[in-house]
Order: sequence, then C-alpha cells, then structure tokens
Amino acid sequence: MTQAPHEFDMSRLPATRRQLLSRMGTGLGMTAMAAMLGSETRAAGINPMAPKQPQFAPKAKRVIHLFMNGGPSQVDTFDPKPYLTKMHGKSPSQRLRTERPTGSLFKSPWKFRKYGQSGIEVSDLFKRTAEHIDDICVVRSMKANVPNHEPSLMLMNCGDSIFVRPSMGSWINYGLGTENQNLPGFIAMCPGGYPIAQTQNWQSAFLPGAYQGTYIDPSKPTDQIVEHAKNARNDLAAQRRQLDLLKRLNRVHAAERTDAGDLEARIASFELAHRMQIEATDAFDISQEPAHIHAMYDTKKNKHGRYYLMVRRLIERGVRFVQLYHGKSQPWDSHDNIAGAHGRLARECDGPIAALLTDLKQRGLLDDTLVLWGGEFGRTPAVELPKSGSNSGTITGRDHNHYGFTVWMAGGGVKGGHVHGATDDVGWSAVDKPVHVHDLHATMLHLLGFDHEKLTYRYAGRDFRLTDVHGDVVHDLIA
Amino acid sequence: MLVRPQHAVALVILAVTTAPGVAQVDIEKAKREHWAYQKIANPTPPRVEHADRVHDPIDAFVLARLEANGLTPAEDADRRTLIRRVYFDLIGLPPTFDQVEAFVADTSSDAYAKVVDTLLASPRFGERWGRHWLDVARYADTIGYDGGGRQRKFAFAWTYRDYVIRSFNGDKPYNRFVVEQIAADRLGLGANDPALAGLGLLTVGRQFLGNVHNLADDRIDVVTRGVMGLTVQCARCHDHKYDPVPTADYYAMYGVFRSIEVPEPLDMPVVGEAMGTPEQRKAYEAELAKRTKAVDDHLVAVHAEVVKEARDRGRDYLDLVSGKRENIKNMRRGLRDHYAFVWKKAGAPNPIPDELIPSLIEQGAAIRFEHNRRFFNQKQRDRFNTLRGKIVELQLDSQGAPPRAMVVTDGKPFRPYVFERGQAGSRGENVDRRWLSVLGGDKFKDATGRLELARAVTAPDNPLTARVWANRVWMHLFGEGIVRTPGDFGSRGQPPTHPLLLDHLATRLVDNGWSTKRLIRAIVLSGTYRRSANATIATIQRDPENRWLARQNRRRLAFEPLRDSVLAVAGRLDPRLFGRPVQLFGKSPSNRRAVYGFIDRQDLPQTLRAFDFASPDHSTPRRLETTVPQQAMFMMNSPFVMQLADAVAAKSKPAGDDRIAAIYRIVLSRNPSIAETVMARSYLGESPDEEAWSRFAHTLMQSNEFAFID
Repeated sequence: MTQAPHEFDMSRLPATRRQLLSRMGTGLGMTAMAAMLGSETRAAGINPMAPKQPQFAPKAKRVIHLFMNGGPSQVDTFDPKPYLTKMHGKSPSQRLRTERPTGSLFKSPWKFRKYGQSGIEVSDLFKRTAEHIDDICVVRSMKANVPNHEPSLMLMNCGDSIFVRPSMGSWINYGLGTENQNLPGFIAMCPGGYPIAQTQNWQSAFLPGAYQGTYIDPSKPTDQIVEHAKNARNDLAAQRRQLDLLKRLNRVHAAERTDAGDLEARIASFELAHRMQIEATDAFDISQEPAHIHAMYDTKKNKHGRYYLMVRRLIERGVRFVQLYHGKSQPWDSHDNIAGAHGRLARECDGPIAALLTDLKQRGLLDDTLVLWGGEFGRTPAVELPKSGSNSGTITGRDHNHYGFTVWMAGGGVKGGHVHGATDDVGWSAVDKPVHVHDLHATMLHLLGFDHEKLTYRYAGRDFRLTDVHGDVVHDLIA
Repeated sequence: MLVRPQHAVALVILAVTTAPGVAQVDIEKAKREHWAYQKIANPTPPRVEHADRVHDPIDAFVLARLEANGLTPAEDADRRTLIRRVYFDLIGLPPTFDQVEAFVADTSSDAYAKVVDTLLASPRFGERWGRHWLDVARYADTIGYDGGGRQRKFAFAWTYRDYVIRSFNGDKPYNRFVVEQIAADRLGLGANDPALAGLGLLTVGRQFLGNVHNLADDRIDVVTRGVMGLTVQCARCHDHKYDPVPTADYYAMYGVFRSIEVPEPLDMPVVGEAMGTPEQRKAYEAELAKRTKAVDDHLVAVHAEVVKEARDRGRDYLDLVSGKRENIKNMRRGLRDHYAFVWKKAGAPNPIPDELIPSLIEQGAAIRFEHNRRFFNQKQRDRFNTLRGKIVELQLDSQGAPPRAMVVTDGKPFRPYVFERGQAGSRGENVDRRWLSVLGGDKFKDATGRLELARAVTAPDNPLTARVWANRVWMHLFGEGIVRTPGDFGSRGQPPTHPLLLDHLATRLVDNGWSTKRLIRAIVLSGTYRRSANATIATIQRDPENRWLARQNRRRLAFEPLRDSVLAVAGRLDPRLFGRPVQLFGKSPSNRRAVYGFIDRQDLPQTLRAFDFASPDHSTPRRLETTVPQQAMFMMNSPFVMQLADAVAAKSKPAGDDRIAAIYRIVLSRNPSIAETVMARSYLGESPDEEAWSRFAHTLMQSNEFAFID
C-alpha cells in the first residue's frame, strides 16, 4: 500500500530544504542555481516543475489538447450514419432526454468519404485533417455524465463534474514536471477571452499553484501575451544591470545567514524570470517562422493558423501540456443553423489541424506528443425543436448529447488508422465498447507512463487522483 | 522553484485503493489510543539545564526537548531582526526606520513587551490575522459558476470579512468567535446585531448551482476540518478509512446543515452603521427604486405577453394537450401544463367540442400575476435574473447601501438518512442529527441542532478545537505547527513534535478565556520565539527540519504582506479599515490592504495563484509555499510595483548626497553598509537621473531582505 508509485516520492525527495542543503554542503550558491536552471540530477526534489520520470516507460511525453468547446457534432464529423440519412425527418425509435426538446431525425448536410489506407470515413468538414487518418485513432463511443456545458467541461478537464478538482494538465505537470524551466509547464490558450467556467478549466485546485495552467490569449500582440513578461520602462540591458545589482545584494544578504536554500531559490527565480520573459515572448513570436511554414498554416488568412503554429512552437520548446480552445465562450454550440456554424468553425480549424499534424510529424515530434481533439460532449442526431427564448426557432440545429460522441487522438503511442467503439444506428448513444471520460483520462495517463490509480495527492485526509474512483485503461487505443 | 519542506509531506504519493466497503475504524480503540482524542492535559513545565533562558513556561517545554536531543539553542535574535519579525508576524507590515531605531535605543526592560502590546492593539493586527482565518473560511466575493443571467457576486460577503477583522481586533474569545460563525442566529441576539455577520462562514463558499448536497458538504468540511482538524468529509460515500468517522456521522451533521436556509440579499438583516454620505444614501435609494421598478415592469410585460399568447394560441395548446398534434412551435411548457390542467378540469373531452373551446381559452387566459414565473421562457427568466442581479450588484457597488449580514436561518429540520455511496437516491439507514461518535455522539434536541453543534465544537471537553487553534497560532508565528498537518489531526496527519507544549498552550488558551491575543503575546514574548534564525552547522545537520526549535524559521512573506509592504514603504498604503471590496489588479489597482481585495473564485487572478494564495474553494489552514519565476516577474515588471518605486525615490529626494542611505532607510528600515553604498554608487554612476533612483529603489524592493522574515 505504501509502495511509492513514481519518482516524486519521499525516498527521492530530500525531506526538507535544510536536508537538501546539508546534502549539498554549504556555500551552495551556484550549485543550487544550476539545479534551478534545469540540471535534472539535483533539481528533482526541490523544484516542483523539475522534470521527473513517470512510473513506467511512457509512449507520450507531452500533450496537445485541441478543445472544440461547445460540443462538435459527431454525426457531422467523424461518425458517419447512413441510416440517419435514410431516416431523415422520421421520429427516432428511442428519444434520449437532453437539455432541450428534440424533434425528428436530422441528416448531416455533409458527405463522408473514405481516407487513407485504413479507409476510415470522415465528413467533408475535416477533409484536410482526414488526410492524416492513418495516424489518427477515432473513438466513436465516448460518454459523459450530463448534457450541460459547465459540468461536462469540468469532467473533461478535471475528471469531476461537481467538485473543484485539479485539471488534467495540472496532474500531468505534477507527475512529470516540465522539460523547459524557462516556460510554464501548462499553457491554456483561448483566443478572445475565457471559455465557459473560465479559469476553472485549468485550475490546480488543491495541488500547488505552480501546476496551474497559465492562461494566454493568443489573439493579443506577442509582447502582451504573457502577464508581466515585459517591462514597460526598462529594456533588457537595463534590467540585466538591475538584476546584477540585485544578485550582488542578495549574495551579501545570504552570506550572513545560515541554511540559505530558500534564499538561493528566490535568487534563482529572478534569473529564471529574466529568461522566461525573453523565451516566453520568443515562443509566441511566429514572425520568426519561414514563409513555407506560414503558408502551411495559412497564417495570413486564418488567425487560427497562427494559434496552431504557436502550439507547435510551445511543444517544440518542451511545454508539457498545451491546451488550445477554439474560442471564448462555446463556439461549437450549434443549436441553430448547424450547417452554417459547423461549416465556418471547421473551415477555421481543419487546415491548421492538418498543418500541425504534418509539422509535428516532419519534426519527429508526433511520436511522443499525444494530440487529443474533441469537445465536452457531442450533439443529438435529432433536430432541436424551437423553444421560445432559447433558440432562433429555425429547426436547423442540434442539442447537446453526452450519451455518445467522438474524440480522436493522434501520436503519442495511439493506434493510427483505427476506429474504436460505435454509436447506435443514428449516432445518439454509444453502444459498442463505450469509453467514459474517466477511461479516456486513464488511457492518456497510461500513455504518459502512469498507472492512473497511483498518481495521487494527499489532501484533506485522502489520496486524490484524476480519475477519482473510476477509469479503465482502454488498451485497444494503444499501438 | 522550491517547495518548502512541510510540503514534501504533502507531496508523498501513496497508492491507496478507494473501493468502498472497507471495515470502519474502531471508534473505541481510536478514542483510547489516538493522541488527538485524549483529554487536554495541563502538564507541569519540565526542569531544564538552561534555566536562564526560560522566559515563559513555553521555553521549558522546548528546551527540555532540545536538551534531550543534544541541541543548543541559538542566540537571541538582534533587536533589528526581532522588531522586524514581530511587526510582520503581528500586523503584516514592516517597522519604519524610526520605529526600529527607537526600539534599539530603548534600554528599558519592557521595551520589547511595549512594542508587542502596541502591535496587538493596532487595527492592522486584525487585518493580518483575519486573513489567516479567511483562508480557513475559503472566503470569496463570488458564488462560483452559474448561468441563466444570475448574479455571480455576493452582495455582502465583505461584511463577513469585516466581522472577522473586527473579531481579531477586539480579541473576541475564540470559542465565542466559532459559535457565532456557526449559529449566531440562535443566540438570541438583537435583530441587527453585528455578530450575525459571522454566519458568513456558512454562506461565503461556492454555491454549486444551488445543489443542497454539495452546499452541506462544503459546510461540513469548513466546520470539521477547518475548526477541528477532522476530515469528516471523507465519510460522505463510505466510512472514513483511517479515522473514527462512520458515514452515519457525516449524515448526522448533514442533517443540521441541510436544514439551513439563506434569505435573499435584501431580506438579510442590516448590521453596523449606515455607510456613505447622505447624498450617497439618497442616490442609493433612488437607484434601488429604479432597479426594483425594472423588475416589476418586466414582470408586468411578461404577464401581458403570456396572457396574450394563452389567448391567441389557446387552440394550439388545446390541440397539443389533447393529443391532436405532437408538437407546436415555440411552445411554453408552463402554458402547456396550464392548458392540460384546464382541459382536465373540464372533464377532458376528446376530441374537444368546438363550442367548448372559447370557454376553455377564457380559462386558459386567466393567468394570475403571482403565477407569472411559471410561464417564463428562457429569455424572460434570464432577463428576470439579470434585472434582479442588478439589485444585488447595487448593494455591492453603492456606498449608500446599508451593510447586511449574510445570515442563515433554520428551515424545517431535515431528517437525515445515510446516502449509500454518497448517492442522494440511495436511501440507507435513518440517523439522528447528532454530534460525532468519537466525541460522544450526543443527539441534538433543539430545532435543527445547529446551536448544539456549535456548542459541541467549542465545548471545554472537546479535545480538538483548542488544540487545533493553539497549533495554528503557533504555526503563524513559527512557520511550522507543533502538528505539521494543521488541517488533519487524524491518524494520517503528523503527531505533535511537542505534545506537552501543545497541551500547555491549549490549556492556557482556554484558561485565559480563549483569548487569541494573550496566547500570541505569551508566544512572542517567549525566548523560543525570539531566537535567531541562524544556527551552527552542527545544529542544522542534527535537526535539518528544525523540529526541535533550536532556532526560529526564516519565512518568506506571503503575497499580502509583501504587496502591502511595497505600498507601506512607498508611503502610499491607504489605511482605511473595512468596507466594500476593492480591485487589487488591473488598470488602477487599489492602495488599500490586500485583505480588502475583491476575490472572484471563478476568475482568481494569476498573480494570486502564482503566489500560493489560498484556494477559495478549499478550506486552507496553511498555504503552500513555492518559489516560481512568475512571482519574480510580478516584482520585476508590474507597473504597480514600479510606480511605488517611483514614490520611494521621490520621498528620498530631499536627502541630498545621502540619498542612497535615505532609500535604504525607507525600503529596508536601516542604513546601508559601506560595501552596499559602494555597490549602489557603482550602479547609479556619476549623475543618476530620477529613473535611475527609481530603478535603484525598485531593486531593494525586490531583494530577499525585503521578502523574507528572519
């Protein structure tokens, strides 16, 4: 029971900074600094963000979560339903209760075609992404708990739809630390503002604040993207002079004190901050990319292309977990005019997704980067009925659906060109090999080298984990 | 980035299966054996060798353990270090240069005690210690997530915050303080008694979209773990795995908190004096009338619309309810139900004869105004919520609005039963509303039992509450508790390093009428508190964690005292006490103390999180303490800090040649050494401009000396 599940345990963690100090000897100065700045050997105990080994050999080292917030429709994207087309306009044989009243079955306005060696069918909404289908593992049998946005976002991000729990990105940083000390280990990007439920989506809850996602609005000018990353008055040279004085003053101060590990850590944090403001700004500065990369992501015409390119730059620099929301609030929530709305949304991200996958692959990053695409739930195959005050009354959209929906993963050790599970004939409910969000989390942690039951944190008398008391690894998704 | 030692413990990862159905902990055995459930003893201070270093019985307890472990206590801290330490610990602000010098020059035997008494009497004391309590109370000014246009801000959370600050300033006996926060409404106080605001402990948490189970759960946690160090919340779904808390105990307490009702903001009692100028009060009244009228107008308009629709579309609805049609466009559920009722009352003829239809529609259109809300569609409901929210917002924004207490009242007593596996739908055995088994399990008899619960929490024979509070007071003065898990006194927490000392402190607390100030005074006057944070290598190697307290612990300032100190040294700290929350960040950040900052639990500023601010969703007896570059970036680059550095530079201006020394005196309350002056000169160059002086002041404000308490 007390077996330590992975490296972040007492036996490897100096019990205190004082022990650490005594172990390192006094006058630790530059040694501590070296540790702070990323030398793995000594950093693993004192630095919450230091890179750490998982419990077993991982297939994935970092994660990109492309969050289609609002809930994309499965039957219009990755879950073809010829029977739905056939039954268009008829009453469903079984009507599952969702947030709003629904009417007759409603066929997809898009054609599906086969792609790749695997011949997996994808709708015309994602024809560019579909070119990578042989690297993609499509999970068509996802399940969540309720048909409402906020609890479903919480479930997808934090593993619990009710209580305030740490987000997946926080757990992963807690387990693995991050490879680049000059950047935050968990970056949550949402252009234009917050998604529904705001900062709760990337909260660290009771985990240390260091594991919280750093929110970034990628639509802002580059130098305003990271909070406090730019000094409005002093250029870097002036700041360097100031920091040199600070360091000298702090050294004199530390020399007069015993047991100075905490003082050294703070000294190092200023050096780190100095580098972070350079590197963070640099990481978001896509102007440094060559023309052919800009062309691939279509950054001139499509601002989403810019965001996806930033994702690649962050991943390349060793950020452990990058989450990109489609946009503020809930863009994919097409209660009305799904043909128009989904069409526009897919036009915005299909090309960039394809470019990102191509780019990761050509840089050899896709092998150990796990890409997750999906929303907090899917949408009903039946049309949403007019409801005064709730929708436009045009009978052209779909309601929320947590009974069955699709996510896909690529890279990071998943089985490419593979379809897992299935919904019923019309695409309403997952019937074959259902995968709950907890199972998805368990599988993702497994790919990252963790037994999800053993990545735990003691809080308020109990050991908590991302999957709480649930979750089974879905081995069929793993290559 | 550094995690302090105490968190190493928290970071231990243990694989524990959480499958339900594990045998419960033996209550009788735990009662007999676990240290925390034993009666608080009144131990005699032990004899020690270093009798000359015993200023207070506290020292005897500490020295005895030091001597037993072969450790020599460190020297006393020098006077400059000591006064800075005690200023930060008691009021969260640094002493000025003059205050330091006066203390250094005061050779009277009670010089230090005078400083301590002055600080304990300062209104700044409650701001510092109140914030510690607000961490426990998971205080915030917003309800958390909600939709449908509902107002997310609390109108009056701040009156609870002010109650807490006033209670610390007035040294309200701790047992009284706790009782008021659980059951002030049951104490027979006047209808407008300021103590009613204490009930905010139960109401300022996250609102979980109004889910009664989670609200009760949150309140159980804040009372049991927050006040008693007992993790009762663990027993929601199954018996506690490690501590003697069966699920029945959880639901016994659930019954008490489930019976709570919270009134609408304008039905909450007015407490304290009216605020604002007469003009502001008048403006408030006028605005309130306007916003109230907007709600009324909306209701009238909706009513007219609904009546019209009921009349014009009566036929559609009758078709719908009689089954003639499956769907109608833009159906209102309320009207459908209403027509179903009308149709049924008429004997439910099907098909409906034509001649009957006009009279059915007549009845269908007879909708009483007070039933209006049943017929809202989503847009109208959202609008209604928004308009009512504006009334709430006015309470928060208008200086002329009277302050009200966020009280609770007792509803109909809920008869609790166990929810099997925590599921509300799975009814288990019935339980009484009663006290925890391990502490006696007495049945509550009066009303919902909330007052009895409060009395039980603070009963003199409850071994937990006094120990937990004495431990936390110690922790805030040493950086470490005697029990290093201040929120968990159960079997999975750490046992006390000095059990006798803990009992001695708890006994003194209770014997001195639960006076927090007297306890603090005794501790800070002890020799143990006054020791230097420096120690010999031998001592550090023998006791690297400083469990035996041969020395003080050096501590890093938390966000609030750090930020408040930046304001204070710049001479810009706005000393006003109390009142509506202010914005700490953004374009024009407030110069009030950080404790008055607006806390949005749904959108907690990243700076606060980066500085390990307590999560407003979890009762937090002790903050984590990490060192990350985002903290440094705030100090380096935030315009707030740089503008205050300008203010320091401006303040130092008349000092002429000695401007370097003047800035040292302002920022660090001391003169610079010769070496420091040389370094400063070389940095500043021959003829520094104002910008350079500001950058220099800014450098000192970022220094470790500024950010740590020795």
